[in-house]
Amino acid sequence: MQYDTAVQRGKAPEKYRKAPFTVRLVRFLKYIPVFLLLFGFAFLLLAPLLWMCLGAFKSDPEVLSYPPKYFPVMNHFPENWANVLKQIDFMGMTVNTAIYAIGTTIPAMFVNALAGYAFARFRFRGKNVLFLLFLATMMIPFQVVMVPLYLEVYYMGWLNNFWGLIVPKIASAYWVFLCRSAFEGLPKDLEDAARIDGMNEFGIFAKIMLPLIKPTMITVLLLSINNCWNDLLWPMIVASKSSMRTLSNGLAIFIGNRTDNYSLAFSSAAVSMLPMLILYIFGQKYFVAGQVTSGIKG
Amino acid sequence: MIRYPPVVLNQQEVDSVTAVNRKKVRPKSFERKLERTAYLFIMPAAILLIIFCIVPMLGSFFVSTQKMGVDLSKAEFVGLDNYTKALSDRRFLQSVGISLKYTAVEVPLQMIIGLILSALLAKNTVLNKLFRSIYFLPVVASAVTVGVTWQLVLHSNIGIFTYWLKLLGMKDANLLNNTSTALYVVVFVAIWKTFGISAIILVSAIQNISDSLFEAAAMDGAGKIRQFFSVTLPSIMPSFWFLLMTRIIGSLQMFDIVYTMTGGGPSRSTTTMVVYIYDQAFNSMNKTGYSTAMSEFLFVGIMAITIVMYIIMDRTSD
Repeated sequence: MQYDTAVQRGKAPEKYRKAPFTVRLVRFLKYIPVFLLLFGFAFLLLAPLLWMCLGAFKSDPEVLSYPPKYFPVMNHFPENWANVLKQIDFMGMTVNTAIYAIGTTIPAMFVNALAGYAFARFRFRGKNVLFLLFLATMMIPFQVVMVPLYLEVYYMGWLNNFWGLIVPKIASAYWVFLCRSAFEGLPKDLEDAARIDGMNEFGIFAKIMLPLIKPTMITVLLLSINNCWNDLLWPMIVASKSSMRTLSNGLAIFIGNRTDNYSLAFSSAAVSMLPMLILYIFGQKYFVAGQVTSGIKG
Repeated sequence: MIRYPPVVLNQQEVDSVTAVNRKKVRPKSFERKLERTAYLFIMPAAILLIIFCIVPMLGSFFVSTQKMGVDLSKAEFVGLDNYTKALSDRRFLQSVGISLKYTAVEVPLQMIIGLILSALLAKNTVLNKLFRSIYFLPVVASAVTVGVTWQLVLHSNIGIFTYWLKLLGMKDANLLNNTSTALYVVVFVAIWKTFGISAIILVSAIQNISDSLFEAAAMDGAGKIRQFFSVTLPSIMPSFWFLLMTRIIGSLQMFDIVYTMTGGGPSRSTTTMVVYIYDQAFNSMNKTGYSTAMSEFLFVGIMAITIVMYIIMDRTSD
């Protein structure tokens, strides 16, 4: 952003004029190393993922050939996939994961938004203490509560069923904060107007305020589904029975470390990533927003 | 000009006219009703958090004083024995060392990469947006997918990276099965998975800096690099400290990538604290009391880091 004399003399600012050819050339040349660096990182990032996806289409001899072949000669995915289905209950695990993700996310959106709304819009006694209490729960590392939580679920008789998997994961102080900061930005007049019209408080929340923070709710929806889909530790602890395993949990057991069943590893890993990839492609800005809000607000 | 007689108001009237204290003006029952609504709204989340977060947290202190298996039927009170046992458990101390080493390598690298990339990607050009969305991609992938992928990529026989490394002249490129390199591979993969988040958090911090600061710096003759160190860096410090704190805490809690990629091996060289804690509780002996006692050390460490970082953040913000 260098200000030349022309700008100081009052002509149009530099950014609205086309720079002379030489300037643009120099700028382009300077960008080449930057581009190469960024491209290098992008390559390092995509290469393993692409190679794994290609691997899902290869037959075992192709995978094992040396030097490695980059592209599959023929599409072997159907047989690889049949092999996967024969060896592990992939569909069952997918269904379990979907129930876990959706069953957690839908109540989570409601419960946490409600609490966030109360913190943002009401004055009440003990607000600060309650708020600190919520804040404190975010600092507790999961590993510390892991065993007591397991015991609780065990004594409730919720081991190896969806209640045990879902209910402890619904409330999250993080979503409460996300919703709270979104609700804080709404004008006070809105709820007052509705109140004067005789709407009850829950109606104001559900019908007027909640639709106004739709972007935040979508962020919560996507991040929560993604968290559950990728969650490993909790399903491993409470859903160890084979019929209850989720994708992370099940794949970690079947193709975890030291695998030698390559077609199984390639195809199941590639397919298990697919739903989240689709979610990311369509909801990228919400994923980013969720991460960034946490980074800035703290 | 009309002259009004002086008006004398008592305090109550003054209050109601100026509405200094709106609480007094508004009807009390209305306030009460709102307060009740607020409690009602908070209740579901609060109850769930109390049952599934605060009670287990308090319960963990109890569990850590017990010698017990997977349930309380054979539990036996042993006082602080679990804690003293942990401090003399060579494997636990080794896992603490590995976690610290992991954190000491991962966090600085991650922060430096994040800073450099965020500086290069801050402008909203089409190309930069494309790079940003690529870098962010592994964030949505599960640790299992990432672990399996990298295991295959670095596989001693079929791995494509192993092949490339051999082409580059590394004869025995078997990084995951080598006790001296396995931990660094885990560090690399963890950075690979999360540097996108770091970069994007810093990018949005940079984009929040007012343009006038850069313009003023440019007027004073500061070049791009000087601008980065004198304007950008001081302005993004709050985000930077926060990111640093979350990265340190996250690294100390490293579990899933290690678990799916190496399972703690080869010969325990990647057994981080949490992997060891998990292993003790649910895999080998079901020593849940002992593992909870070990996790309290982690808790204290994380608390200490959080407090120290908050003090630093507080100082830098003003």
